[in-house]
Amino acid sequence: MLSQAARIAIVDDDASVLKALSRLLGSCSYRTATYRSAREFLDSLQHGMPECLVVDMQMPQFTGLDLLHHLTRQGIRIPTVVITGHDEAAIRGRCEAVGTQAYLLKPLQGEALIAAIDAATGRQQAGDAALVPRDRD
Amino acid sequence: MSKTARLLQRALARFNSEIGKAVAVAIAYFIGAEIAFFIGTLSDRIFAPFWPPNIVLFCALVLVPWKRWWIYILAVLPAHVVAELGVGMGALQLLVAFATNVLVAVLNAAAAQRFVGEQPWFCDVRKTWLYVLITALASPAIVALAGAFVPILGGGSLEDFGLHWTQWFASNSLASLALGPIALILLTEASFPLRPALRTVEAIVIGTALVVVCAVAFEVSAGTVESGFLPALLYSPLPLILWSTVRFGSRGASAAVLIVSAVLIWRALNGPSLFIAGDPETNVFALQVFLIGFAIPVILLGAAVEAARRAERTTRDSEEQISFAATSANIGLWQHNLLTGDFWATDHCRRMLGLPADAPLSWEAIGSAVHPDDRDMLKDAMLAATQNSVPAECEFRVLLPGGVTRWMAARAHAAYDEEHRPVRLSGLVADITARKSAEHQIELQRRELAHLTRVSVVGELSGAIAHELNQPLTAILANAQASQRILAKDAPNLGDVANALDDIEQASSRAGEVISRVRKLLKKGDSRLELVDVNELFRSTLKLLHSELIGRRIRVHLDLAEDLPPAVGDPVELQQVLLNLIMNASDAMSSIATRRRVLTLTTRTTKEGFMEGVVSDQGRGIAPDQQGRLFEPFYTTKEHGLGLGLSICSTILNSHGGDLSIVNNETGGARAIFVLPVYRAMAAAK
Repeated sequence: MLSQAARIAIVDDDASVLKALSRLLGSCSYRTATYRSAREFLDSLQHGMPECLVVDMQMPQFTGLDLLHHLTRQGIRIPTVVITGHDEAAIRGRCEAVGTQAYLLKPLQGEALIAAIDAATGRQQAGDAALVPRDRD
Repeated sequence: MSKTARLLQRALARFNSEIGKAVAVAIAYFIGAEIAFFIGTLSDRIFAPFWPPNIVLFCALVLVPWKRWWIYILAVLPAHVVAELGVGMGALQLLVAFATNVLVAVLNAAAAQRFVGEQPWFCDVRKTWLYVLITALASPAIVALAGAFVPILGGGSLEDFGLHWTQWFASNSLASLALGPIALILLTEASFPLRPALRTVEAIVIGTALVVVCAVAFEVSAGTVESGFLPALLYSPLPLILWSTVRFGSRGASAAVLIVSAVLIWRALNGPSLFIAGDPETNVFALQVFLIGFAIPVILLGAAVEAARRAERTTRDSEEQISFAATSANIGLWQHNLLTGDFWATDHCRRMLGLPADAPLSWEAIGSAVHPDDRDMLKDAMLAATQNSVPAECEFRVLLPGGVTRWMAARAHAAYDEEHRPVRLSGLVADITARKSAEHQIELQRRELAHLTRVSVVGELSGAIAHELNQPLTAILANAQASQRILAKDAPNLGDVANALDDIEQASSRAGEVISRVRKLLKKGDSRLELVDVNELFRSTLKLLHSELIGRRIRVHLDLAEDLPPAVGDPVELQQVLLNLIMNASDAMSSIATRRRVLTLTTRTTKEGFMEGVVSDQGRGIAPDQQGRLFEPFYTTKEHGLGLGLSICSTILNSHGGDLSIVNNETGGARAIFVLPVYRAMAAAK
């Protein structure tokens, strides 16, 4: 990509969360694309891959985890940051198994999200130290 | 053997008692004949003016079944023979006399038993009329055709048949009137003691006075006739006869008839009398006709007085019984005459309403005893009872002196005249405080239990509720941090900041809504009735369950009626029902394929002024052995269930005048159907 800012895809069924996260990342000069559902996001892939995927776990029908599995099966690898309201060890383990770079709990700190995205996309502005403390226990 | 012996013994014992009675009847027959002979006649050619033996036999026959009549007939034969031989009657004449005596007694008894009916006879005007017609007129008239031959056999002339017939008829008729009623009354009617003693004195005074007055009145000299005082003298016994009749009913009347007859006959046969103008036969006949003519109306009057007295007594007895029963059952009775305005109530009724025993009753007095909030309702109910021909009911509180409040139930109905105007309102008041307080206790316990299960549901949903709060909090935090970053720039775009602040505001109120929903569920308060939009309740419950349903991968299909009228109820309790039903439906689908997990919520208006809500799942449905037990408390099919959910839903709906049922779907799964009355129906019913 030629643009100076990375393109971040945000998937969350909650419009207000989607809008807020997009605004937050925008204020840090990220280019964002927002999707209300996993399916909407998958449809967008034919127009190009995002640099990073920020995805919510709890979505009706097609959940965040379903999406990660789907991408793995299709052989699509996108650096991913999972955001969730539930800190469930089992789900977390499964997310990591499919190569999730970061696992963040809602409500999330802007700093942590940006650090996680940077770490996932290899921008490395903040370095490894900025990764979420919960990244690896 | 022993059986035969026992039967024989029993027959003997019965025969013995029968013989005892028969002997008594024979003696009475003999005495009656002797009295008749003692009184004597004015002429050798005529009978005694009245002949008691036939009445003795008649009374005996009337009182025993006809199968045993022969015993009494045989028993009086010797008495007849002895008595008639005593006056030197010939054998053939004696037997014919006996035959006619028996015949008149049998005819009287048979006809009276057949036509007059059950004893007692003299407290009913119709029965008394029939008695008079049969025993004093028809039967003696018929038998006299044979009886007239008795004097002819004794040497009388056949040409005098008409005279003999008249004499035989009159003496039997007079006996039936003068002796029959008093004898039958004394034999068949339970003798009540004359209480107080004053009544006895009164009876004796009237009896004695009547004897004296009659003796004087009928002791008529030629001078009296000439002086013109005869009518006045003749009527002199009348006040005493009426007094006796009015005060002592049929007893008094028949006793007076007996006294007047006895004294008059005695006076007529033993001295100067009213009946002295003609030959002896005519004189006796005139005497008899006079007595028969006097006795019939007096006896009928006695029957009429007796009937009125008994009716009054029956009414008083039944009033007392009703009043006693009502007081025993803690019920007060009252009556309001709508024409005169008179108010009557049992003493117990006054006590129940806390009204003094002697204060005049009125609606105002009753209204002042009723709780001010309930007065209008009571008034409306009473008005409704007056206007409709159906009884009205209402429950109200009474404020008793001393500050005690008690619950009463009143029931009233109106009586109408021929033109369908209400003339009387009567009813009862029952104390239902115990029932009300039990109902209140049950209601309190039900609400306590409902609250506890709500708390437990909120506990179960805590994860989902936290998520519901996390969403707005995430948005708030992200917006706030974005704003900070924007403002930190050299040329901050304030429009973006303003948008972010708007979003923060919205997210905050969303978080507030979540908290208020949960608080409502957890709050313990009085049940309050409001108009509840069940569609809206479904939607807000779904918001509460949003994350839970997503977590369970359940899709929701909403099919809500657009024009659903509001129900009346407690919104928190009704939401609890929806929560429970939706959670049950979700649990039922936990073990089926995720793509089939569809929850369908439906509302619609049903025809009878009720609305229906349906929560339908696609689970495994209800097994036949569970069907009957679903609403039992502590019955559960879930591993961690308390088994209270459905039983509480059911009691909540019942307390709202609704109902809950659960049936299997034809296409799989089960559906819970709840019914609630809608506001429109309640308004229409009022």
